[in-house]
This record gives sequence, structure tokens and C-alpha cells, in this order.
Amino acid sequence: MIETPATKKSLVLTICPYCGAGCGLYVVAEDGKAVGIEYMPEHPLNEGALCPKGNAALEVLYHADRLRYPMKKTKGNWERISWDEAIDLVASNLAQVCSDYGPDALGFLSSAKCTNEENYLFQKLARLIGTNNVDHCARLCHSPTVAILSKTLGSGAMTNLIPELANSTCIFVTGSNFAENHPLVSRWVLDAKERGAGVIVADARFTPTAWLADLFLQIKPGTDVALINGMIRVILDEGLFKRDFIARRTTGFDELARSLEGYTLEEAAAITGVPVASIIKAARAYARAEAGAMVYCMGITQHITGSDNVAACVNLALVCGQIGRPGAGLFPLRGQNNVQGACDMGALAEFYPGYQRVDNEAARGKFEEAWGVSLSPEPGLTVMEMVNAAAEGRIKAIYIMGENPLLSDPNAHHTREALSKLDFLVVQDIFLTETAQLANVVLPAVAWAEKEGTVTSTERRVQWTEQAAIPLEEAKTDLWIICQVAKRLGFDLGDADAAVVLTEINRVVSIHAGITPERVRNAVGGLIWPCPSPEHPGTPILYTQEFGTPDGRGKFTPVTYRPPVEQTRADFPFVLITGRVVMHYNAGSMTRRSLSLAKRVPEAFIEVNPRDAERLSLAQDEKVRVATERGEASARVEVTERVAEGVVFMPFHFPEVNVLTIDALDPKAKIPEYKVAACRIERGDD
Amino acid sequence: MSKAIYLDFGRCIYCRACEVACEREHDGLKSIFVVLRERFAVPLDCRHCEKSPCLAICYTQALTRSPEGAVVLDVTKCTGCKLCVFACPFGLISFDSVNKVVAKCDLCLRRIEEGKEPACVSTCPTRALYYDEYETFMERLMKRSALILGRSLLVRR
Repeated sequence: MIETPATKKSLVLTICPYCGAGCGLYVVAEDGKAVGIEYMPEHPLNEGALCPKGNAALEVLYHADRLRYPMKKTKGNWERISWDEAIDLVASNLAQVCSDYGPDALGFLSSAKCTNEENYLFQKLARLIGTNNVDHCARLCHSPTVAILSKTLGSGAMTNLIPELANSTCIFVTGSNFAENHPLVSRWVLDAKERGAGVIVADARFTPTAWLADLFLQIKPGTDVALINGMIRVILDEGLFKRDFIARRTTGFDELARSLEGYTLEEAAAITGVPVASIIKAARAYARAEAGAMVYCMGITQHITGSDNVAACVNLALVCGQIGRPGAGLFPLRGQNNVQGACDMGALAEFYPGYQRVDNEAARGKFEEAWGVSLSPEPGLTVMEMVNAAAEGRIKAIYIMGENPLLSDPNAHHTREALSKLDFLVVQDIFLTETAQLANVVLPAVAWAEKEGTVTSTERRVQWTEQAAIPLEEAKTDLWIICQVAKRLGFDLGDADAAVVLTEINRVVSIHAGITPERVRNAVGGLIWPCPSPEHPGTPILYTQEFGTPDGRGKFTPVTYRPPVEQTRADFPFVLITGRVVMHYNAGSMTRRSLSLAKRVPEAFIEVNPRDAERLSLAQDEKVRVATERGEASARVEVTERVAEGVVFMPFHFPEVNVLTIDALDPKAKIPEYKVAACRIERGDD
Repeated sequence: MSKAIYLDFGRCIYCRACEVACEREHDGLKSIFVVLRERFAVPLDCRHCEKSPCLAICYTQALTRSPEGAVVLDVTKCTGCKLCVFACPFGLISFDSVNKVVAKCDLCLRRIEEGKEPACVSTCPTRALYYDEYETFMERLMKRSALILGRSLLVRR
């Protein structure tokens, strides 16, 4: 905290609550209120800069919609209750379900927006109660990254720091629109370009990120494996693979080469829609680069083949030896401000804190000892599985912290049906979100600037965010609420002191062992895990000497192209891609309430190619109805060349849009195929 | 020569952080506008022109030149005639319909006095906006072009 005596205002160091870039900014605090923001030029990632969302971050803090006191639903109306009654209701209902149906009839949805300490205690509570049904929204975005990168490389995380992209000589961007969704990444990519780096962008849409491309590959939605296998084909044929690296540091190369034997570039071009010449150019540029970086995001992961897509990315990086060096690495861009942390802290159905599997005896033994209980050995239900289980009556109660599944999950009608079937739903949030409206009890949580703790950015950068403002009315920190509920259930989780919880995390999570409260509070730019001891400086680049796998080698995983689940047909002739825009954040509960942001993008829209618009007689700004097998949504038409003919795009920040998406899941990672659905467009007046 | 805001067009990604920052610093009224074309975007900001048409046309001298070289507005002298709005060839002066006066970029002089840069410059994620001396900016551009030209001659394709 920095005080300016002349004005009696203090500058409080916080980390932006929006995306996983982890930008630092100061909140200007006066008499316990946040009165402004100030830029933080000394932060290593953003150097003071902020995207529009960061600039508007305070607009949610004192919004009229902020939840101010606990409430329960009585005869369809909200009734204000005391914290005492609220905690009682929550604890007694969870305990009732537990005793009637067993602990696995409970579900816990943790929050990728809450701190590491909060996530750690939330998953601990679930596990102490006796279930591993604890999960969070990472399942919906980077679960393939966590699953596949852990297996093939060692850690489900980015391998280098973002500013290092400036040192890359070739940056291959696939399925990432960072110019809109991680704007600060653009800073460093542009610096790389200024030094002569080549940028290749593969995407189904010509996004602002594609503006940066020297080579743009417009792929048909869901054909990433076909493209990357094509690139590897070129690299094998032209001898551009790194023999020495492959021999010393990997396993499975022969199998990979064999799996691609019959595969031709013509086939790759036919599947992807990318010309053979472009595939060759892209492959050569990436393979030959002195320091090649691969950036990927939802375009790769949010498919029923998301795991295969990630495996293909790993194959490409390993075959070219583009990993483990400055400027050379794999950059999965994590979404939420603390989704990396929520995963690290084990708010996952199959992992304890530190990515140790719950069905691994040694790992379980360690936590049984640390927590003094016996723990369930069964991996729990993941987000979508919990929703399905609720629909089928196998889950009777869910405790949701800081998530809005009614808007974030696909097939929203199904989600609503499922959550409505529950005996008991408690939602802890800062607003009465669409999901909270379905709850029996609503608990008011504080917003980001009203609490302290650590959050972990996509760079594996663990940073302490300080409390700038007094909590609004009766809102409490998520940490306090979890401890209270735990206490009422008979579990002692401590006194809701973030620094104390962090000290416990230091003891049980080896990659966080050296990230102590004293160190992390005093480090601008925090500490980068793995940080296994208090003297350790942190680890900016992973895998410089060896990979984190049991044999220290990276693994190739042969994968074959499989098409998306839902194909277009006569009555649903368009491929619908859903995604994000710069002005909004995910389900939009914060950004739709921020005037500066909402006024710029006030409503759902659908991007339609000009030739499709002409064929359907659609005018710019016209209101249309978009329908899939699962439901309908209305949207404003945006006629643009960004999408190819036959393809349309809608941002999911608005309530209607996930009504349309399909809940088909990747079998390994359980992530839904948000990126491909079949839809039709009907004019508003039909 | 005094510093000015320079635009590095190729770096604008249409995020509009500059617009949001400008609004926050100026009671909801922005004086920087990012214009989107199909494949690029251009941030348009007040150039604080040397031969300023808005300053020239203002009949009450509400618009004057500050010591830093900025064209600044004294709202107490503004009659809301909007002649300056028409005079600006870039269309960057807005009309504040609440207070019935115009609004224009003040180069964030308050921030400059505190040793900071204008909000749009500080916030730009890609450094598309620079606040610098002319010579420094041109040097940066020339160094970059030289590198790119040089490398394109040396690179093996």
C-alpha cells in the first residue's frame, strides 16, 4: 500500500479481477472506499497498461445490484435473513442431504474468480465432508490443457512468461483471439513483430488477432487436428524435425511418425479448407524458427476433440523442439483471473491441491495425514456431470461459489431444468445472477477489491492482491463464509485469515512451498511456480532441462482427425461458433453491469458473412432469431467478412446464447463443444 | 520541442481501453475515438494542432494554448455555439448535452503535472499511443524500419 500524505489517499496494489493475464493496478482508496484507479508501470506483465475491462473494474464495486445481505427464497420471494440463519440453513441442508443420501449426493462448484486460499478451503470442505464432487469452470475451458499437458509434459500450464513472446522469432497462434481476450499478450507479440518475428494465425474467423498475422489460415471449425497433422507431415517430409531433441528428450516419436504415414497434405487441405501451400509455409516457418512459440486457447480446447487438439499442439512443439527455451514454448492462455490457481488448489474432481490424483494412494495418504481424516478414493463428478446428475436426481444439493452455470454451461434449458430439480441450492456471489435466482439461499460475497489473498495468473504468477475497500454492508469474504459453514458442519478450517491459509498451502503443495505470505506480499509481480523453497526465486521457464513426467521426457500422442458432433443440415445450415469479445467477460454478470463496457456492446449479436446476409436478405442491425435443436435466441445482425460463408459467430456474454450450444463432451476432459453447433437464422418478422 | 501524443497505427487492436480511460478521467466524456475498419482500427485523438482551427474560431477565447502546448478549454467561457465542433477536421470535439458546453482533450494536464502520462497513453495495452518528443518517436520508427528492412534482406526463405 502506498500512501500519499498530501491527499490522504492510498494506492492499494490489486490484481485485475477479469482475465488470466494478471495485470497489476492500484486502487485509490480514501476512508475505506475505492475512489479511483491508478496505473502500475512497474508491473512486469502489463507495465501499467490495462484493457477496457481493467479500466472499468471499479464500476461493479458499488453497483446498485450488489448483494448486501443474505437472503432465502420463501414462496417464490426473496426474504432478508441474518448471517446466523443463513449459515444454519446452508449447513443443515447440506448435512441433511449428506445423511439421507450420502456425501456424493452433494456438489460443490468453486470459483475461478476467488483467491487461492478460498479455493483451497472450499475443496477441502467438500473433501472433509466426504465427496470429491468439487469442480469449477476450468472444466469448461482448459480441462484438456490440464489433462493432456500434465500427462505429456508434466504441468497443465503455460511454459514461459508472456513478455518472453517478444523474444520469439515465430509465433504460431491457433484458436486464440488474444487481441480481444488477453489484450496484454498483443503488446509482446507486437514487440516480437517489430524485431522481425513472423506471426501465423489459425482461426475460423478473421479476428483482430488475425490483423497481426503475416500468414492467416482460415480453418473450418473443428479441424485443428487435421491442420496440425498436416504441418507435422511437412516437417517429417522435409526433415525439419529436431532429431537430437527428440532422441534425448521425448518418447513415442516413432509411433507418431507411423500414425501419419498415409496422411497427405491434400487430405489436410480438403478437411481444413487451408491451401496446401499455406500449410507448408506455416510448418516451415514454425519448425525453422530460432525460437518458436505456440499460443492456443478456446479454439483448440472447446471441442469434443479438445484433448486431441491439445495433444496435437504438444506433438508439433516437441517435434520441432520449440519448448524449454527463452521465446520457445507452449502458451495456453488461461481465462479467469484465478482459474490457474483454482486448478492448482485442487478445486477439481480428480485432483487434490498440486495436481495429485485423488485415486492415487500415496497422494491420498499424504492429504489424509495433513487433514486428519480419511478421504474418498473416487474421482468426483465434473461440472457437466454434476448438472446431468442433478437432472437425474443423483445430486440433491449444490453449493455454488462465484459461478453462473446457467449462463456459462452449454444447453441452458437443460441446466435450468437440472438446477431446478435440486432439493437445495445455495449460491454465494456478488450479484443476484441468473443462477442465483434459482437458489434457496443466497450469500452476499465481497468483490475483489474488498478482500486480500493470492491469485495465480496464466503465467503461473502467484500475486498477492490487497484489500482496498471496506466490504459493502453485510457482504463477507468467501473465506469467512466457507469457514463459517465448515464450523457449523463440525469442521475447523481456521479463522479466515488468508495469510494463515497460504501458510498451510505452503506445507501441502510443493510447487507453492516457497510462496510464503512474507515473500509474495513484497514481490511486485509475485512469484512464479514451481517455487519449492523459501530461497527459490521461482521458475519463469519450464522444462529447460527435463520435463515433469515420471521419466523426464515429453510424450508424443498420435491423434487422428474426428469431425465435430453436430453437422449442419437443411434445417440448421450454419455452423455456429460461440466466443468472446473484448468489451465483455464470460457470462457478463460484471461487464453487463459496467456502463462503460455495456454501452459499447449492449446486446447479443450474430456475425454473418455478407454473401449469406444477401442470400437471406438480412440487413445490418436487423433483429433475427437464431435457433438450434436446443433452443432459440434473438440477436442483432452484424454483417462482416470476419466469418466465412456458412459460418456464424455469437458472443456468449448474454443470457440467450448458451441456450443454443451443445453439451456434447470431450470424453477425456469432459469439456463441452462450445465452438461448433448447427443453427438457422430466422428474420424477426417471420 | 514539447511532447505530444504519437500514434503507432499498426499496433491498435480496437480494444478501446483508451476511450474507457478517457471517460473515467473526464466525468464520462471521452475525447479519443477508435474507428474500426474491416481489417484495422485507428485511434483518433486531439492533435493539439499548431495552427488550431478550433482555437481560431472560438469567439470567447474559451480555447487557449497552455504552456505545455496543449489546446485547452475553459468551460466557464464556453457558450455552446459548437463552432469548434464543426471546425475540427477530425471531428474530435464533442458536445456535452448535460452541461451545454463542449468537451475536448485536455492532454490530461492534471496527470502530466503529477509526472504521469495522459491516461490513454498509460493504459494502451499495445503501446499504440506514445507520449514523447518528436525526435524520440521518429528515431523509434526509423530503427524499427531499418531492422525489418535489414532482416528481410538477410532472412533465408
